[in-house]
Amino acid sequence: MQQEGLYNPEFEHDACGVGFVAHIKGQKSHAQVKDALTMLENMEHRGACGCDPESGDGAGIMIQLPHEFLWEECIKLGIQLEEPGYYGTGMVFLPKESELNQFCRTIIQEAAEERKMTFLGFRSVPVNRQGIGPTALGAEPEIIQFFVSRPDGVANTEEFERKLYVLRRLIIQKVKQKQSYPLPLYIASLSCKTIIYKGQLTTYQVGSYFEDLRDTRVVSAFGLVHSRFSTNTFPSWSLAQPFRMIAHNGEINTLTGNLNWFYAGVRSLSSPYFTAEEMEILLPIVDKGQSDSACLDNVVELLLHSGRSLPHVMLMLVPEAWDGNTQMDPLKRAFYEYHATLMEPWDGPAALCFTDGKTIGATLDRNGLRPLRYAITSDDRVVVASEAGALPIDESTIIKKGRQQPGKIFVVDMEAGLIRSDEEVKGELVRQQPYGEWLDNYKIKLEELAEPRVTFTYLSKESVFKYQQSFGYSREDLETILTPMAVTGYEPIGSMGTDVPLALLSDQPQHLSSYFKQFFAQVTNPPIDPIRERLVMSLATFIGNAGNILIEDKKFCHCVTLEHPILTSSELEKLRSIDTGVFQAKTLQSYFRADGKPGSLEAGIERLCRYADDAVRDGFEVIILSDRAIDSQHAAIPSILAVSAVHHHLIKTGNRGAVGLVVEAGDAWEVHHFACLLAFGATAINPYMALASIRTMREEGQLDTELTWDQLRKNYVKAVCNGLLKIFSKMGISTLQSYHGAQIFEVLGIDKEVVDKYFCGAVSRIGGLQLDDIAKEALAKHWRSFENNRSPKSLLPEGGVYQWKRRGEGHLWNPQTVHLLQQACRTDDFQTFKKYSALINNQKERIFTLRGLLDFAKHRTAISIDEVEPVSEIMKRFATGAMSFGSISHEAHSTLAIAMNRVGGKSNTGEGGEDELRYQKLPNGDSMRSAIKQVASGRFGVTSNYLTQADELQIKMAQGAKPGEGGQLPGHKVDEWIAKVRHSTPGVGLISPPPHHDIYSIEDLAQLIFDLKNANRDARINVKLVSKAGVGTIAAGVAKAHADVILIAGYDGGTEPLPSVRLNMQVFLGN
Amino acid sequence: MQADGQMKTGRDLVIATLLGAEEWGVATAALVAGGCIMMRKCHLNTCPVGVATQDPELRKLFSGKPEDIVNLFQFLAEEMREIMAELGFRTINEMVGRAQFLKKREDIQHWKANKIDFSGILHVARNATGETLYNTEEQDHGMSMILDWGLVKQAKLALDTKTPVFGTFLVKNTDRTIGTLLSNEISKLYGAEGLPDNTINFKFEGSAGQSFGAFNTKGISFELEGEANDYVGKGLSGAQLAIYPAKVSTLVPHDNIIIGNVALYGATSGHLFINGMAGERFAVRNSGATAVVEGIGDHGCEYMTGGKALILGSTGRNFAAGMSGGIAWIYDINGTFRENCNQEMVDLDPLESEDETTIIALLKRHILLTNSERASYILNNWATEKVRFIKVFPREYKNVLRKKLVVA
Repeated sequence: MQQEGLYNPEFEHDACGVGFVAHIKGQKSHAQVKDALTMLENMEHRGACGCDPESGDGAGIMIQLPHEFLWEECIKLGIQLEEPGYYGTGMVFLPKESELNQFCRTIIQEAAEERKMTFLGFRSVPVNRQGIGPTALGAEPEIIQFFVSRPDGVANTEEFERKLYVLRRLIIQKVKQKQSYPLPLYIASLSCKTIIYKGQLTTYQVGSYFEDLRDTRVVSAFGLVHSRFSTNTFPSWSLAQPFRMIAHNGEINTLTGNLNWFYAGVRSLSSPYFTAEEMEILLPIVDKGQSDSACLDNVVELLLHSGRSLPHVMLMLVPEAWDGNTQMDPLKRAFYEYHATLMEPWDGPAALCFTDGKTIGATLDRNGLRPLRYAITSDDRVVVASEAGALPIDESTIIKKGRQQPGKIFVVDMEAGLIRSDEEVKGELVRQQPYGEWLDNYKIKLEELAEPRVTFTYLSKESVFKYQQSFGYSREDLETILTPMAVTGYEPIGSMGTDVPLALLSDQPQHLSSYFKQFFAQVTNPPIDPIRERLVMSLATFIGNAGNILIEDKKFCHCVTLEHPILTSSELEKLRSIDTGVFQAKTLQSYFRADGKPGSLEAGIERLCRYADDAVRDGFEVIILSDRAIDSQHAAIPSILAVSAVHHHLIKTGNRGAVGLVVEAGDAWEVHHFACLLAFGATAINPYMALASIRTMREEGQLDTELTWDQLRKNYVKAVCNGLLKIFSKMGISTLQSYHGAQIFEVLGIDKEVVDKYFCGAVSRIGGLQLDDIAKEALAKHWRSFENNRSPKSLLPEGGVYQWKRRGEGHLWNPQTVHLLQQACRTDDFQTFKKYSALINNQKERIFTLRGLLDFAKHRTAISIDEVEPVSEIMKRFATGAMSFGSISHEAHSTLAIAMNRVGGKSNTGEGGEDELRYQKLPNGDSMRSAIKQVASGRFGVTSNYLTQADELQIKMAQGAKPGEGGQLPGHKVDEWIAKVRHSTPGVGLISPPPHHDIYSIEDLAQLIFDLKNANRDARINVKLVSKAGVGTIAAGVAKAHADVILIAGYDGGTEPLPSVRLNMQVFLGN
Repeated sequence: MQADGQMKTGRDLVIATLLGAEEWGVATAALVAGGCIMMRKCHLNTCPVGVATQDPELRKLFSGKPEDIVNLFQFLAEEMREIMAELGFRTINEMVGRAQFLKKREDIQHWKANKIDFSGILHVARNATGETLYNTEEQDHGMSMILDWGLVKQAKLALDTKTPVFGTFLVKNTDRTIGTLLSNEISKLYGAEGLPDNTINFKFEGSAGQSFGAFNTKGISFELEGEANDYVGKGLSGAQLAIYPAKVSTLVPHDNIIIGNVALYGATSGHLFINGMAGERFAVRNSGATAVVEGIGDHGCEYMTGGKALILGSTGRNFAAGMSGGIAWIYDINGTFRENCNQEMVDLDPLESEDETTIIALLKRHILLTNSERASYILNNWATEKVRFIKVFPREYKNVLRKKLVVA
């Protein structure tokens, strides 16, 4: 499926059920395969299917190579296989079209010969298509196996596996040379140890479709299974799991960043296990167009084949929360810290089962967001699955039942014939190298660095003012953003960047970050509570060369470690003057010619990128992008543009991994600015103007506080850090390292070409500013401060974006419109209402909304209004918003309910429960009962009876005003009545958690929908989503999770509701 | 498909429909019609027109009438009809998703706004399965074969006449959400009050699927011999659930997992007895249920606002984070509890005499229902074992209870 309308294949998500059955002593049997398939069938409800119920989202099984079976089958075909371990078996999906099919077969043979492996032959895999749905059949490939023998001189199976890995990559490379994406050929597995049977099947179909799996000669010591639930609706056989090393239930939230970092380091990859020629074949290691799990599998495979053990690789990619865990064994901490300097966590909910054919195991994400249960039996079997009981076992034989715990690992070593616990596995790994010693010797701590030799002077009041003007500070920014942050150490409420309206519709020059809206977790992964679950989060970061991830070298941890990414000005000077002999920093001027000519900004960026590349080649470990040196001739390149451009340029040249990117930014003052910089590649940030502004305000006595400058500065940094954690948590990201470069933003209002060039990979759907327009906005501010003939120089502009927002809203809802609407409604006067709507609809003079830019296109002849369906029919389609009793008064709440019940529409309880008194009809026949009962994360007052009293049950996945955040009702607001309705204690505060704790993934939502349908089968189940890029794809998944209604709510101030509805339609109707 | 977000006029609604919405939510305009004058003081409790306030005096000022709001929706519908007539649409359904009836305004002066590219938004969706662009099919919720139909049948006498009933059922992990539909039947007949305790007494054997006992209401008493998955007793509404290992099992209950993650989430009342360990996030947002369990994972009793939790074993990290109400008692046999407890909102206190009474009563009931060896041991050695208990008492809750005592 290609990009179409607002749909983009990159928005796809998936999740699922996962598990394995294994014999601890490695005893092979067909029963093992059969049991694994039974377990798979019992997790059918964790997978999904599209509108064609006989076509699954994908399911499969990985087993050990059944040698005797293959040997006998191959002999029938005239193929003589070698001894076990001396031949490799490929499981391949080929196109059915004969010419292309032949082309792929030829390539497989050629590639094998090129890699000096004797090609032994092909075998068609017998399949039984009975009961397979038309969607799956329509995309069904020809499934074949091929066999190659182990070349001479290959010492052992590990080395052979490596050679087969290279062969597989070579086949793909050769296909890529002739064919474009999506590639016609897919290799599910190519190994001398394991084989994968999978496809776009339901769990029940795996065993029936593949005739091999029913053959009793097919024996294995383990069976690893997976059942997939995907938000997408397009057939794909290759996205089914297991993959070659892992089966994954969950979601990698930070995939974009992980991949960027991976590609950034690709050129420095080298390993004693691969020749340079082989390494060239392996690149780019991770192909595009794959799911998050497939990408993770590719990286696991590379790290495994370059010498690390599978458990080691898993701990490196999905580490437990170590930073800030003071109870952790120092050796273990050192292990994690060393590896953190090499690689950021692949973050998100994850239950991972993994195997290399000899060991099999499982691990869980740091927050324990996916279920994984295990049982060990007295006859040496281990059963691990998303659900207990997925494989029925005789209870009397079970000697241990457990669950996988957050960040823990569990390994079955089938060669040694034993189970290794988390303590054993980690105890061994952390002692493999003297990681702690390496860190002690090579890690540079900022606080231990010498004071800089240059003396540091503060900016004068005049220059502060000048800079403030040119970077676009308003009085509002100083008073309502910086002041509270410095004085209280907390971000002012409502100052989140996400509250900002569409910058593209504003008349005032905007901060470039205002065009960036961060995504938030919704359905496919949960937001985190940054306050109550702080222990899993971390702001630690490293500046320096990330090194080569394929080998372990003590020098790789030779970098500066920071507790958080915000540098004070003196810390920056320390970093600037650092010189350990091999570690030095280079400062680059981030400005462009302020001549207003077309192309000036572009030229400035190009120059910056070129210099950055040179600096890396010259061996600098740190690049500082500074906009301090602006003057009348030179304006600052907006910092997010400068950082992102350099970041992506260095990724392209393969140099990004070798350097830390520090920004000395005048235009970073609110948390959203910092978040944008970090997400687009900045390693650390010095907000020198924000700090200077606070200092100046204090000197001028504008701050009503006794605090010292030092305390104010600390408070400000603390406020930024807490704000960052809050922003990460909205997307469900736990660590700065994973957020770094993750680009989880939608760009609203910047031209696609600019985005593709400087913010590569970010989503931009409505076009907008070109580079010269961005320059124009920057210069409007710059000239304000550097042109002499400007109006009173003592004043900054009064209001920034927040002010604008209030005014903007104030214009649509103003005393006039409010009055007209109320008068019209009170006097039942449609003409007055028309006056009201004319005022709202007329956006000729000033544009408030995207919809204000639209007009109706008349393709049909007008008809008489009498032919249009009556008002009474239309009114059934109305609902009021979800406002809780508690946020609005009983009187207002019940009046809305009565009105909606009268017209046949629906009112909504909101999230606070509903008083049972309202279920009784009033004497006059009116009813105060809300037809829609909401189920929110707090679950206040959600009882069987409440659910029973509904016509519609609405699951509030997110809140338009603050998606990804929880809420709090302070104790003094919880009076007797509210407490009764919410089933709580009067006077005791109530916290709504950020996520629904029973929805961490799409299959969990399907379960809640099922629960609610059971609780009231006559009610429609409505899932309320908040608009964002990709919401359509999520909505498609929600429809597959069996929601009856999907509500797309406008993202307050951000994306409007309307574009998102579009998104939905496209995805829905595409299936 | 429903859409909402600042929709104010018939024109807004028609645009939403052309872009795919079949139903619409109107919030602010409805409040304005009901008297809101957009003072933007909602969070201050000082709303001068009695809309966004709980203050009894201010609430008296609310002047909105249902008729005003009815009028608003009538006007909106009427305005939609006018535009529909102009565009040539007879019904809403035929208008849904017809984005080709929208275009970008040609007279946009704004230098930035006129750069907006609407092609993605105005892209007309294809429909592979037919011509309609609105909802025409119903979801199959897969409920025709569920266990609860059998439970309802077995409980007929109880539902009709409140006569106690008994039954035994074999279950496996694909039997999900047990007792929820049965509870719906009870609520339909008897409302929040439900049935008298122990009216419906069912026993299950095997591995229960997810959401065992979810939203189960008063009058239900379930016993499960075996194990259960995630979400046991989610939204528990008065029922009693008891879970213990299979009789043939040789496992030591307090060292082995018997139920999954997120049990008792959002429970409001009822009892849960678990002879074994539970997973992560036990009793999150519990506001009234009572639970006994022999060990739990991370984030236990998070955001709990009421109810009781007696934990006869170890807990994971971050216990009691955001816990504002209710009480938990931990049998801290290894002495590790303090460092696993998030003490930002709670005090760790020794037992008072009334705690002892409650704990002893709960232990006795736990033994009766699940035959717990650990509970028996503690009870038999109460004098020496009671010192191992730590009481987790949320500070805010403690203060409120104290004030109540003073008032009384």
